[in-house]
Amino acid sequence: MQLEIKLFASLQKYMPNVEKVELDGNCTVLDLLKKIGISSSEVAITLVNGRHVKLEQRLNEGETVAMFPPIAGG
Amino acid sequence: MQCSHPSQEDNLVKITDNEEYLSQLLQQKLEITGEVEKAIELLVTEQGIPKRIAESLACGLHIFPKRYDLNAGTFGGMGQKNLLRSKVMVAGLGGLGGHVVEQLVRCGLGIVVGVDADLFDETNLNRQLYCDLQTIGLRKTVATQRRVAAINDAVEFHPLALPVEDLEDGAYDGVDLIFDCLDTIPSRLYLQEVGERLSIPLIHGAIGGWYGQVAIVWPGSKLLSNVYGTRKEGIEKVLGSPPFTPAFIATIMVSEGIKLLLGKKERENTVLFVDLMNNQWQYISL
Repeated sequence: MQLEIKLFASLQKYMPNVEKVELDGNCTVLDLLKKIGISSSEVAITLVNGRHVKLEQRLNEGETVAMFPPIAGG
Repeated sequence: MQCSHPSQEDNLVKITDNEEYLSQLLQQKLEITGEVEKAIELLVTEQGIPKRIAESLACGLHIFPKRYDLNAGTFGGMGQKNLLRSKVMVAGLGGLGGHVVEQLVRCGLGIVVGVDADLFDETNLNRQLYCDLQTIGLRKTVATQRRVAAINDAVEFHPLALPVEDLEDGAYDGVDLIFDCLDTIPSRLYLQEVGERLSIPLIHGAIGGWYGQVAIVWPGSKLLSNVYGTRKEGIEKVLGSPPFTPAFIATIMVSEGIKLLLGKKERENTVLFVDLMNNQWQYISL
């Protein structure tokens, strides 16, 4: 299946632009992270089609996945 | 600078009961002196009320002390009055907290409780507003208190030089809003729990490198738990904290907080994510 990926802030080093990624069917967000080479500890918020999901969320053809890193400095 | 104590709390009850009478007294003094600042000083001396309360009475009559002249068009008389009657806590007096306190004091926020156990050191010089070559080694609460007193002598600043985890519930008495300017995820989650238990909303702000985020954490929303999950630290550990990002995020935090205090903000569960590298601004609904 094909997914559209948008990475934000420090995660853009893995993929600076919005890109389409091919993934086998029956995959989760965790599988997507593995494919791109991102550790799960680098991601705080994941949105699928604008909806907040957990890393175990199953993905479907054509969905848009956005990811944001944890920010905690004061 | 004035300090709060029980007699002032008692005074506030009397002031609320006698607001019309005190306002009339203020107007009489204004007719005699011809200057709102002098009329306020007279009222404070004669009635033994906090200066911020006397100022709030004036603003309620749409008579503004000069220091609020350029707030007046934005907040209005009743808005400025409400701010002078408000009490907030700023948890963390570092990069975010210094800028937050500075703006709150210039807004005329009546009581600011400032919480930080740390002393300024040289690594704070790049971004922390109250850190300079003279304040290195000084408690952040002390430097902040001095700065508040130098800007607005009607604002009451209550310093608490403790980690937020060591505060007793009494520290939150009368607090309308908490500004989360802390710098670790566990402390932020702890503060979220306190806000939930005591029904106080948080204005959350966090930064790392070119990036930052702001959110209103309503009691019971568990918004920060949703944001951070099991993460223990953020991108600031690698990207650091440059001068401009905390100043920018603190500005949004204060405007969000002021809107809440003025009743201009609806309940929501969103995080505003800011990317200053690409000048992008993204709302995330959780």
